Amino acid sequence: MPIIDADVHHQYPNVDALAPYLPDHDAAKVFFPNAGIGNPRGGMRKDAVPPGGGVPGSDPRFMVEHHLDAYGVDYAILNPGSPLALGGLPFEDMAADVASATNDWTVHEWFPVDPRYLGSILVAPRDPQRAAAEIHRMASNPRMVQITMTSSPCLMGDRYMHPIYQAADEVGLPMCLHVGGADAGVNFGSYFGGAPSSFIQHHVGMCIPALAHVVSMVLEGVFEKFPNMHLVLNEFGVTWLPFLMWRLDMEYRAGREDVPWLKRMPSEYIREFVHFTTQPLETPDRPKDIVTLLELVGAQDMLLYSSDYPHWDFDSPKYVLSGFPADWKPKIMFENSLKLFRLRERGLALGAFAAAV
Amino acid sequence: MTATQPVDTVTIPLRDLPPGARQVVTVGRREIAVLNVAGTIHAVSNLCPHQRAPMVAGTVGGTRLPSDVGEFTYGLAGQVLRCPWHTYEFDLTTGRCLADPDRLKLNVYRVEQTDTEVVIHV
Repeated sequence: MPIIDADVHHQYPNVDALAPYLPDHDAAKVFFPNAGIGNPRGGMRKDAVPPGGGVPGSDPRFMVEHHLDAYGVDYAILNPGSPLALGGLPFEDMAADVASATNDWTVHEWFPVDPRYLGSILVAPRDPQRAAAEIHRMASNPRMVQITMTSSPCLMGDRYMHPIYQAADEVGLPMCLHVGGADAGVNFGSYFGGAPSSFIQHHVGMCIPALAHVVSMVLEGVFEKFPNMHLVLNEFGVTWLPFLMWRLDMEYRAGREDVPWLKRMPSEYIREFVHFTTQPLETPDRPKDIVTLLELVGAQDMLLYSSDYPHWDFDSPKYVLSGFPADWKPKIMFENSLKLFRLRERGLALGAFAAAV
Repeated sequence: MTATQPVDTVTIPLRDLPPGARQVVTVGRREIAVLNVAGTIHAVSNLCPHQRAPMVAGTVGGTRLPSDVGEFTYGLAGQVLRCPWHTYEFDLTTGRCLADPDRLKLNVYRVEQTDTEVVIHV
């Protein structure tokens, strides 16, 4: 079966890799805040170190062999792993420069290596105007299939963020929110109601901001105002979806006058505009229970397979959907991504992949 | 790797497996990770029961034992093999996953060790 992997992390070998792409050519001045609580067991797969040594995910040729070829991945959507904490950097200009440099590094140093690599336009959301400019600068490259950020300085429906969505809407690219920056640097880890005290707490708690952002975006009318923009929630889990949809619709029946701009039930916006990457997929004791739950909200049309290579919690495409119905697997493994990222329209679904789909 | 006959044992020269070394031996369809941990040889199935990650690439160490709230007791030094992907912990002597021992288990193979060779019973 064809595979589109919607979340693969490429890493800088070190921050000097950005030097050719930074305006002042001084990579030594770039730094990243701590991304919440680090994993004491290490953040990377132990078997993903390139043969010459160095950071897992930093060698584009080794990634081809170790991930794309090994699992038969037809397209891998790269989401830069090194700057996951970027949104917690308080210096808007440095953050925006790093985002631009990272995008150029992706295009110049990863895309030429293999046509299966696709990219994400990294933006630094603390300066929405510069983020919008960056989206327009990069969107002409058809291999840049989404916009990405790892945290938001406010609830994502807030008007402060709308310049970014305006740009996304104009260029017709989905907006991806990836975990990683919500408790980094100045983003202060308050999403739990307090700061967690262990990595396992942090890693469960990472899911929580997504609920607040979806509520905010739906109710602020983001998907009415910017109907060309979809949202991809990357690594936030998915089985909380029935709760959120049912609760939103229930509240809407009572509080509709607060949000008179909505034209449909809140859950209908989620069903049409919000997409979820699979990894890390919740694992109930009885594997079929997750299928029952997801079917209740039609999640088989909203899920995008992702591996999270080379991170420690990588989900193998061979096993992660093993309990799922046969007619869900092609949707989740590639059809939903093919459609959302408009690969055919971008002239990307070619060759053997085109024949297979 | 030396897979000698008969097929129910595999013999490896001890010089090929000094302390800290590990290797994979394949017997039929079985992949076995063989590890020398400070002079003790362990042989367990190489494929993690969760998502078939290669256990030979995992880390060996100790861990925190079950304890009362707020207490940390270190133990099982050199006896815990941790999956290279999702960091599940397996006891090398029993094969059981520390967090879910009834459901997740590595096969453990009996090992005989002489001065010159290691014999694994499959």
